[in-house]
Amino acid sequence: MSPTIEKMKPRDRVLAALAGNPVDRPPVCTPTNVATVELMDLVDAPFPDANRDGEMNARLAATAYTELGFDTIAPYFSIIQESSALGCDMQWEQKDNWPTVRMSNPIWKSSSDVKIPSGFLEHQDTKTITDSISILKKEYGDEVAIVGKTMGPWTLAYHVFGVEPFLLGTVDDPDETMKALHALKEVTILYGLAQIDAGADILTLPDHATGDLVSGEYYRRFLLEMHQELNEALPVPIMLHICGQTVDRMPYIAQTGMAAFHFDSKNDPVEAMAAVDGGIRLVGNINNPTTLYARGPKEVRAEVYAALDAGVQLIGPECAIPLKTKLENLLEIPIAIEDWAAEHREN
Amino acid sequence: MPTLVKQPRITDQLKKLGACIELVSIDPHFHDVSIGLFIKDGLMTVWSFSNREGIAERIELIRDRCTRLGDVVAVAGTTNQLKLISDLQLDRALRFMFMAAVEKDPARELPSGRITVPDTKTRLLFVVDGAEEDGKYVYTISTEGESDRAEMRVRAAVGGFIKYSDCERIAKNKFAFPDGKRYDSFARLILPLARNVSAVESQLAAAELDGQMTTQTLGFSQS
Repeated sequence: MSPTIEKMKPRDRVLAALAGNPVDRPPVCTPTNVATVELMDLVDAPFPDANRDGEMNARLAATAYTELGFDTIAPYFSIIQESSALGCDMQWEQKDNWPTVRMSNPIWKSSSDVKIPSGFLEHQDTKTITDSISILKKEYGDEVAIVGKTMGPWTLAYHVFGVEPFLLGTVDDPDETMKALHALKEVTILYGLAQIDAGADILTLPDHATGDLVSGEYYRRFLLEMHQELNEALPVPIMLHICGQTVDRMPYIAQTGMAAFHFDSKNDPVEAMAAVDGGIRLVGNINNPTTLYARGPKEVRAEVYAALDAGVQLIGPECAIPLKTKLENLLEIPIAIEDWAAEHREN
Repeated sequence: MPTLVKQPRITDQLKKLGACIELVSIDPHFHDVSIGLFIKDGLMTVWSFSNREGIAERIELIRDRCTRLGDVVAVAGTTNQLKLISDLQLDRALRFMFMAAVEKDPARELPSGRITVPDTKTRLLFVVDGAEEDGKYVYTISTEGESDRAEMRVRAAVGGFIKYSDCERIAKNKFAFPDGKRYDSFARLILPLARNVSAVESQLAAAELDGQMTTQTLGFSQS
């Protein structure tokens, strides 16, 4: 943060922060989602339809900026759009729950099964996001950073092969696992480029090699090089997202060349900043299930300050927020950032 | 496409409404809209950000239902506001009152008369009576029917009132609300919950997981 910089537009602020350039204040950034059931009602764009219709999707996504005062708009709320277009068995749920892939009913067994269907980008569920990005770019493109999202090969592998078969395969036949990941990486690139063409300024790349399931060494072995390739192939700033405890893999993540890592509240921000050691910027890490969902603005403010004091460059919820999150808690995030920045300018 | 919103609408509204006590995601009796109960300076407001035709009437129905389920009164001249009959903070009881007002069938008759409920773990019937004792309004839980576990079940039910209404235990079978005043409607509302706290807690925990995106709910975690 620089005391000499004049007030920036949200888009400029986010892009500057991701590039490591000076900003007027740290951005409030959503790499994932800030839609809630109340916002769905406000703009008449409820789940699951808002995940399957570009116009509804854009209406709901825009509220991140118009109502909550975030510096980003992220229209890809869930993690299932590509998997639906690939043919996975879907459970669309209702307004107050997330659509999911029925991973107990996987569609593929090996790398040789991986084929991107013709018309993948024209499928309703992939096109929803590209349509929405086009609408949002036209409406807000000069002002706000539009954040697309393209799922990484590890997450796609969970969806198409099932979590357990895929993870067992990493032990039984690592070469086959790498073949599958390389094949799925093409989906990540194809959909990422389509969103960039539609107007995305930034891409979130979730790839759930989570601390709950795999080690940091697994990340280095299977994903580090692949993430470096994805960063080269997708010509916008990339924010990698991995849930859970990830400090053990942060030194590797810092070598991906990506612009930022979106990290979970299970990681202490001071420890996380030390782990990346300036190699990548951090986005996060306000706790969802306890703080944003069940506590109040005071606790939200405390977490925002803790992240900023640690040096976290972009502030936002740790992951897609609970759909019943209280709006007063989300509104507190930009207010707290403004206050923190004002205090530090004065000092 | 409708014009995208450019003027914030929620910030000013939330300043008026205050803190959200409870948010029901889906009103099963009105177009699946979300409805919230907010409180500011002791004044509660039933509110929805939905603009659906008929929402104001639905909110008034919910508000009126609340006045029959809990010890709250409608604020005169309003259709969506209510107040507790005292200055007591009873957030958990208010949450249960509001959830019942939104989610239960509005055509269903509400119980009246004696405060009773069958036990879920025995064949006993719990009965709650109240009377003034030493300047406090004290509620006594008794049972009708036969069970070796009657005393234990009564003690557990009193524990439920302590958990869900911050009540004070006066004796093994007696409790009072924190300010020692009379709250018959809340006693009736809480009794079915107080009789089986563990089941209620399981339901609440499951409900809290709805809409949460975590490694567990995504199926990306072993824990």
